[in-house]
Amino acid sequence: MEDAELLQAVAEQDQTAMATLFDRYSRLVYSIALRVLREPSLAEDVMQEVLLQVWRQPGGFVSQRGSLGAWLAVVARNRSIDVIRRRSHLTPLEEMVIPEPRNLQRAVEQNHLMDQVRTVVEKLPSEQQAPLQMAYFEGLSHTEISERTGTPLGTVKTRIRTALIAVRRALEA
Amino acid sequence: MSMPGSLHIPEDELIQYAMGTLKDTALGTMTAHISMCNQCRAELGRIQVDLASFAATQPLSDVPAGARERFLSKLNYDAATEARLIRAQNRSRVYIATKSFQNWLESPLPLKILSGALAAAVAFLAWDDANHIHQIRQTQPEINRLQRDTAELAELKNFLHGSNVQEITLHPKPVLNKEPEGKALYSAASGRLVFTASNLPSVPPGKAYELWILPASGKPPIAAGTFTPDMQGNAAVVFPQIPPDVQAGGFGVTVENAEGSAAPTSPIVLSGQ
Repeated sequence: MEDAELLQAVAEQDQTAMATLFDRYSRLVYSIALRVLREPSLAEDVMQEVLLQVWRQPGGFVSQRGSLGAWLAVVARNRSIDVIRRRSHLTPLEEMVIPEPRNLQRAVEQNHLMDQVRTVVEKLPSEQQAPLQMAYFEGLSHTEISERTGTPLGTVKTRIRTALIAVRRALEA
Repeated sequence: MSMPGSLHIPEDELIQYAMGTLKDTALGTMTAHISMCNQCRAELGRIQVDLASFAATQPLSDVPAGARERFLSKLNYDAATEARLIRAQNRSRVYIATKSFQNWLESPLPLKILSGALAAAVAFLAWDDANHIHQIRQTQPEINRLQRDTAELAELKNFLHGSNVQEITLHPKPVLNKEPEGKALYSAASGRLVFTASNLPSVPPGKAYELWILPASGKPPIAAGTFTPDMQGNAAVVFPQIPPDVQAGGFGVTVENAEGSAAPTSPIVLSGQ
């Protein structure tokens, strides 16, 4: 069953459809939350919260956000970063503008494309992977990464940019 | 942040914006620029796709044992709460219907007729009630939208009655035949702006008027929204996305491409200080 059909069933309060959706996306959501939070119990809380939001407001995902998988990946990451930020009283990510991610659906739903991206990400030199992961999964600014690793700020920026260019090339290949 | 010197946001800063790792002070200005700049918005969209793809291709971990059951249990609780309400409504309807039917069987003919009519009325009300509940649920998104609109209107009302609001009248430059006029209400502290205009001539296809804040600091004009007049030449821009704490030296209106420009490209048709 396609995501759209599943969400339609979820909108009609079909618990079996929601269970299917859980089976399809819980690992993705949990893995991203765990990557950020590094605590299984917190990661599970985020996963449950994110997926319960689908149950309670399935329309919010369908109408505006494109692919459910891509949306969940981004929401799981942002929610997890917010958990960390709430402790440090920083601006929650959900207040930020996210303009028109209209190509998310195509990008994330095509499995072969994702395989290409996965291969590219795995092959990224560690000096490129590390700052991108610190920025994305730990929510660190370029300056903070520079301070933490002792790498010049310009080098941090270049490495993150280069890593993202590699991802984009894989998507466009 | 190096926007004032160049027209667009550097890629490194867009990357940080997409990840939410920028300092709060830079966010407002950048958000205002992105909301007005198609090029930066498109690039930000591409970066978000890159990041979502990066996230979605990370190695997957298995969810903890029992997580599925715990989730389904929460789901059940969620669904049960609503179901309890529906069941309670249904039980009351069934009880009323049953009692009515028993009374009807046991009563003399005139009362049978009356109680039969009563039962029919109760059945109709129950059906009507269920219909209304369904209709109310259908209209929930509309109610939410109206609540948001009401909040915005309340904010607009407070703004219009605020004491720290500048009021500026804009006149034609040069003087045009139909005497177009604009009025800007602006609060630098909150970054809120309401602009109304009248007697504006229509613009050519593909073009629109664009409102500009001319910073007192002498920095480049800040775009504050595009607009086109209606048949009577009236137009309004309400609460465009603009950065806070910009002291305005004046306001101007130019004719630009319909999607807006990053900087004025044509002569000012209305201006005011």
